[in-house]
This record gives sequence, C-alpha cells and structure tokens, in this order.
Amino acid sequence: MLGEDILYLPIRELASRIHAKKLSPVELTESYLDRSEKFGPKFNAYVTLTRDRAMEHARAAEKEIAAGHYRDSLHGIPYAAKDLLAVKGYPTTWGAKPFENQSFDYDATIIQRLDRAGAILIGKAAMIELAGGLGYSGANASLTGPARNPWNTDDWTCGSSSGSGAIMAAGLAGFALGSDTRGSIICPTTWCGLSGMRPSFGRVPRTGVMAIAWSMDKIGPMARTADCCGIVLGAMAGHDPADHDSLPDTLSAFSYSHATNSSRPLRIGRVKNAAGDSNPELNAAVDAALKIMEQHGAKISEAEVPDGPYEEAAELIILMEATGAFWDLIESGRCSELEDPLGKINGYASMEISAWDYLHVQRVRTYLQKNVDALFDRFDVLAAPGEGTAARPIQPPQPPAGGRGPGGAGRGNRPPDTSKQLDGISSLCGLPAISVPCGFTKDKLPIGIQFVGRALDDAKVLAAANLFQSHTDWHTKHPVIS
Amino acid sequence: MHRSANPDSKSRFTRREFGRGAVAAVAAAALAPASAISQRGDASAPASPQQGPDVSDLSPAARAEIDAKVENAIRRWGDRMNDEQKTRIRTIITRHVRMLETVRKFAVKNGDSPASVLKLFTTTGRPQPSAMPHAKIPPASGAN
Repeated sequence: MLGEDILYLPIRELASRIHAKKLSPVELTESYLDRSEKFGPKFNAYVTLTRDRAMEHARAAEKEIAAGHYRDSLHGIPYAAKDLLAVKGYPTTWGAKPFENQSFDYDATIIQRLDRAGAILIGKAAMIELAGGLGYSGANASLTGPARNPWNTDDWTCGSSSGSGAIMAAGLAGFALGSDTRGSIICPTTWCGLSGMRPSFGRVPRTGVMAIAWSMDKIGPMARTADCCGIVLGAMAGHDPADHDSLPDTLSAFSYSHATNSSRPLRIGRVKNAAGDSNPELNAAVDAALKIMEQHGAKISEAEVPDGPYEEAAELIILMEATGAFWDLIESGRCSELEDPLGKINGYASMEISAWDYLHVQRVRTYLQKNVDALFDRFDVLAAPGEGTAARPIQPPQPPAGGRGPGGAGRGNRPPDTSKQLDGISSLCGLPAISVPCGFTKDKLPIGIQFVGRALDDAKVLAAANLFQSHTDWHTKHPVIS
Repeated sequence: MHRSANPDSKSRFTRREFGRGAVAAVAAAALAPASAISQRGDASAPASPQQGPDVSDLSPAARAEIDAKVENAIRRWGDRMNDEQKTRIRTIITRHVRMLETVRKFAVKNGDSPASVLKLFTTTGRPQPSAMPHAKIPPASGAN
C-alpha cells in the first residue's frame, strides 16, 4: 500500500505523477481501497466500496495512459461519491433504512462525466439519512451510524456529507463529492480541515441525484485544495438537459484556471455581522488569513450582510420542498423507519404549511437575492469563518427542535447561533462558496475560512482560496490515522 | 401588472427595522429545544397534544394557527403517533409558525414573483432557456 506521503497529495500532484508514469492508477486505486477497508469502519465513512468497478476502471486508465492517451488531470484519480448519487450495479441507500436495498440501473450524470474524465469511483460515502431532508437532530441519523471526525473520533464530521468529510480527512480517496442544500458541503469541509466547494446553483447537473429541495440542491467537490476543487468542478459543470434546473452551457460550463494573478487586486469583504462572529478564536484565525492575503495584493474591507430572514426562508423552503420530494415516504408511513426521532414525524408537521406561505417565502427570497447581490458591486468575494464553531462532539438525538435540526436546516448538533450564517445566506441565494483550512483551535481542531462570490462567479471564489493557499500550508496538515 | 421598482420603498419598514424584529423572533426559535424540555417537565409523564413550548410571546392569531395545525396534523396522522410524538408535533409546528411569522412580516407587492425555480442574478443578465436538444431522461425513479 502506498504511504500517506502519496495518499494525501492534492490532485494536481497525483496527476503529474500519473501523467509522467511515475504513479500507477492501479496501485493508487488499490491503496485507497485497502486503506478505506482498513480505516473506513473506524470513521463510519462509507456505505459501500465499489472495488470491482474501481479496479476495472483503474486497469483501463493505466492501459490508456501507457498507450499515450492521457485524458486530463482526473485520469486515474480515485474518488468517493456521497451515497445519494445513483451508480449502476451498486446500492444507493440515500443513507436511510427505507432505501437500504435501493438501486438504479443508470449512473448519475456526474458519475458519467467523471467516468469520461477518467476518474475512478472507489466507493459510496456515508451520509445523514435523506441528507437531512426530513430533518434530523444528531449525528446518529444515518444508516451507517455517526461519521467520526478523524481529527478527534469523539467529534462529528458535520452533515449531511458526513462520510465524504471523514473519507478526505482520513486520506481514503483523492477527492470526494458532497451535496449542499443548506451548508452540507461547507460544514463538513470546515470541521474536517478540507477544501470544499459549493458551486453556483444550476452549474452542476443533478440527474440521478436524490432531491431534497429542488430549488436549493447543489453538488460539489470536497478535496485537499481549492485547486483540486477547480479541477473537479471543471469536469462536472455544464448543462444537463435532463436536469430541469440546469443552466445553459453559456452559463454553466466552467473552464478552470489555476492562475492567481489578476489585473486588479481581489476585493474581499470581511463580513462582520454573520453568525460565528462571536467566536474570538475563529475570528482571529480568519483575520490572520486575510492579513496574509492583504500582504499579497488583496484589498480587505468590512462588509455587512443586509438584514433579512435568510435562515427562516431557507429552512421553510427546504421543509416544504422536501415534503414534496419525500411524499411517498410520508404518505406510506415509512418515515417511521428513519433513525432520527425528528425525521420520523417532521413531514407530518410540514404538511401543515400552506401553499400561500411557500409562495410568499419564495417571493421574499427574490428580494434577499437582490440585496445580497448588491454587495458584490463592491466586493469580489465575501469572507467569514467557515462555520460558527469548530467540530462538536457526537451526541445522542437531541430533544425536538421543531425544525430540521437544533442548529438550523437539518444539521444535527450544530450550535443554535445560525440566525445569519454566511453559508446559509449563500445557499439560499444559490451563490458559490468555498471553505479552506486556516488554522486550528486550542483543542487542535481545524478552523476554516469561507469565501462566497456572486452568482456564477465561481472563478473568483477559487481565485481567492488559491491566493490564500499559495502562501500558506494549512491545507497540507492532516490528522494522525492509526 | 405592477412591478415594484424600489424594494426599499418608504411605504414599508426598512430592512434594519425588519431585522430587529427578525432577530428577536429567531432568538426565540433558537431556544425552542431548551424551552420545549422545560415545558415538558417530567419526560416519563404521559404527554398530551396540548403540551408544548411556551407561546406566550406569540399573537393570539399565531397561537390559534398553531392549535389548528396541530389539531389537523393529529386528525390526519395521529393514528401513527404515540403521545410523545404528538407533543413533538406541537413543538415542531410552533417553530414552523414562528418562522412563518418572521417571513410574513416581509412585505411583497403584486408583481414580485417567487423564486420557486431559482433565477441567478448575474452581471450578464438572466439565464436564457437552453437551445440544446433534450437528452434521454433516465427512468422515473424519484432519484433526480
């Protein structure tokens, strides 16, 4: 098995070695599979390993590359996909007991695109049941148990892309895919010390992906660096006629460039009135990160998110759309098979929200979009702590919160200080965001800095994170795995 | 059809004023779990659908809405719920109504359309319908 010196490398460095025929895709894939078999159960990281498929694709990649047919940076790179993406020939459980035997006879569009890029799927990542679609109150709300954080196994990875977070922090794959309806990429990315990106809404196809809330669901990469995220996004983005909400190619296609140089300085708005601002340890790390960026040409000034019912709007939209998405489960009563006490009955309560209220919330959302969009006349990106806290302990199911989770939209035991979280605001408005590591707490848990950009300006978000990571080495740190 | 040109029209309260109200409402909502526990008292005691979180800060109309929704949910689905779950339904619906009350305060006008399908705001204008031909759609599965 290859060592951690290889398995924790970012995609560009793995690709460089594969392209130069100094690293075998077969050996790399076997190593990640063996390491996943050895350590995956310790972190409850996977639902399924797709060894047969992976080895077949790895051998094909090796043969092609040996013959001089190198495709691009993902050729021969092993990855894991959250278990809400359909993969032909394997279970797709959506992390939930009622669907533990579910399978599809086709691959999700993203899986097809990554196949075409030569990436190698090695497994289906564990997740919160239904990605929190019917609400949940703790890390245990998963078919495979609570995902344990490799930085401290008493802590959670955060959800709902909980397995993807564990996989990447433990060095079990070259990159992973998560989904983000309201924070489910940004939170596990931050708590696990990763670089993870939620692309603009409509940029990445969702055909073959479980729906929670059609107007809010996005798929994105969780990886070692922002550069990795850009590479993966470039392979996944682009119009998909089968996805109703997919943007046309003129808007959704994404050609990634790693360049950090720009004709003018990056204008960064340091958000001071978002949740998390009350945590001095996190604030200090973010301010130190921005200081470094300022020293390398960025212009930093304070930004204030306009007031508005962002969290309420996001949560209500998710509740109402999820009630539609999971209506069969609610109507049949099979929601009682879910693990979480909240998920068992939340759908019944959500049925009482009126169509008028749904429309009103969606009309308010348009206002909120406009107000937030105006901020980007002055800033290229907004910056804030990735989350309001560092990783928190795994706890048993919490008393009823009366919503999708104590901390907001279905995110288990996150803190209640979510009234105006930057990732909630950007999720609601469909804006691109990335979180990258920028330090550690006194308890040696990762801290992240989050950059949010204007709709479809995913390149600026990546440029900001690339600028930071080109002058720091936080992204090279990983936990001791034994 | 009327379209509001100025979202910050003086005919309505300002965003700042709105925000002050919203923060208070959210704070109440965020405390719902703790208040729900204290209101429930002994967790082993039999629960009834009438028990639940403190709603004394809510308007009579909001409280009536909660009662009606709880009653309807239990009428429709109650045979699937035990006493504890019936109490939880009240807690959940109370939180829903708190959130709805917050959002309902946000005035909209006749021409303000919903973002039911999210339209991104970009510097290059709104997205246009794709001219690409339709691809074969996978079998209906609910997995999209």
